Amino acid sequence: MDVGLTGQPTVRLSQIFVSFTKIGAVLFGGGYAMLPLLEREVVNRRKWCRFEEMADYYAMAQLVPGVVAVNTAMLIGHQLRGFWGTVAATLGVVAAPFFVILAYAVAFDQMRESQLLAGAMAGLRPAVAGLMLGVAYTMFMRSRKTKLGAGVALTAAFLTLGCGVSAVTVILLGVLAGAGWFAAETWRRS
Amino acid sequence: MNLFFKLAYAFFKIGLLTVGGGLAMIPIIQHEMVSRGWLDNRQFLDILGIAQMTPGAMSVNTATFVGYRVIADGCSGSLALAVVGALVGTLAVCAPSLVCVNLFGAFWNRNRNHPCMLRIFDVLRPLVTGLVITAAGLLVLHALWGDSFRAMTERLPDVRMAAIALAAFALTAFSKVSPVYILLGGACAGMVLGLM
Repeated sequence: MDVGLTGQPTVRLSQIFVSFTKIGAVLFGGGYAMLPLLEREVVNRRKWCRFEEMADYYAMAQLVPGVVAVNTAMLIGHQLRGFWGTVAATLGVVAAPFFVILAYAVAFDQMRESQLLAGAMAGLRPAVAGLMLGVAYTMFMRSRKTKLGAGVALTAAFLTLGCGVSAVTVILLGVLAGAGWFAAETWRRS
Repeated sequence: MNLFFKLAYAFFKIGLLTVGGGLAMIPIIQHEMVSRGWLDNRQFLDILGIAQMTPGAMSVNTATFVGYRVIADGCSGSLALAVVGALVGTLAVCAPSLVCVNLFGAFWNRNRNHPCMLRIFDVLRPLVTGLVITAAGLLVLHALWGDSFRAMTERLPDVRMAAIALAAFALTAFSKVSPVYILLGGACAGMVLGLM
C-alpha cells in the first residue's frame, strides 16, 4: 500500500470513493462545473489539497487522454493513494451518473413524458450557468492580484471565446510559455 | 460475447483518442456510434440532450446508455446482460485514462518541485481562470439565448431563466452557499415556475 504522498495521514480509499460519489451525483454541465464542487468537498471540507493545486490538476487533466472530469478525479486520487486512489476516485465519480442513466435507459419513454422532470431540467440549466459565472468571477478576482495573472487569464479567455482556439491548444501554449520563462531565467543567471 | 468485446473496444478507443474532453469528444463518439449502426444521428442528439441533463460527464453517460441499448437490442432484451453492457461501456471509456494518469502522476510526483515545473504552473493557474471564463460565457449564452451569438442582440432572455442565473451567480460569488443547494434550488424553481 502507498503511504500518503503529501506527508499527511493516509486517506482511506472508502473516503475517496464517498467524496467523489458526492461530487459525481451533482456534476451537471460538464467538466468545468466540477471546480466549485471540488473546492467545496476536496479543498474546504477534506483539505486534501489547496485551491491552486486543484487548478493544476484540472489543467493537467485536459492534457491526459479521456474525460476531463474523470481525469481530474483520478489525479487527485493518485495524489492521495497512488494506483488504488485512482481506482476509488474513478468508481466514485461515475457511480451516481451510472445509476441515473441506467434508470433512464430502462424507463426511457415514461421519463420523457414527465412535465415535472422537464421543468427541473430547464431550471438546472440557468442555475449551472450562473454558478459557473460566479466561479469565473471569484477565480478572476484571485488571478487579478498579479499583473501576469490578469494578463494570462484574459488572453486565454480571448483566445478560446473570441478566436475559437481549443482549450488543449491554449494549455499547451501555456506549458511552452512557462518552459520558455524558466529557460530565460536560467540563461540570464548564467 | 463478441458484442461485449466490440463495445469495450469502441469505448476504449473513444477514451484514448479524445484529449480535452467535452465538445471535442462529440464528433468522435458520433462517428463511432453511427458507423457501427448502433445509433442514428437523431438518437445520438437525443442522448446528448439526456447526457447533458443528467449528472456526470457527457461521454461517460453516453457510454453507459449506449452500452445498455446495444446489448438490450443484441441479446433479445435481457435486462441483466444489458446492465453488464452498460458497465462494460462505462469502464471501457475510463480505462485509457487510468493507465495514462498513473504514468503521468508518477512523473508529476517526482518532478513537481523542479523550477521549470513551478514556472509552467505559474502560467497554467491563471490560464485555467481564462478557460473557466470562456466556459461560463458559453453556458450563459446557451442557457439564456440558445446557441447563437446573434440571438443575444435580437431578443431578451426569458425573465425566469435570467432570474435563476442571476441568483445562482450572486450566491456563488458573494456568499458561501454550497453549489449543491444552488443546483437544487434551480431545479425546484424550474418545477415551480413550469419551465420547459
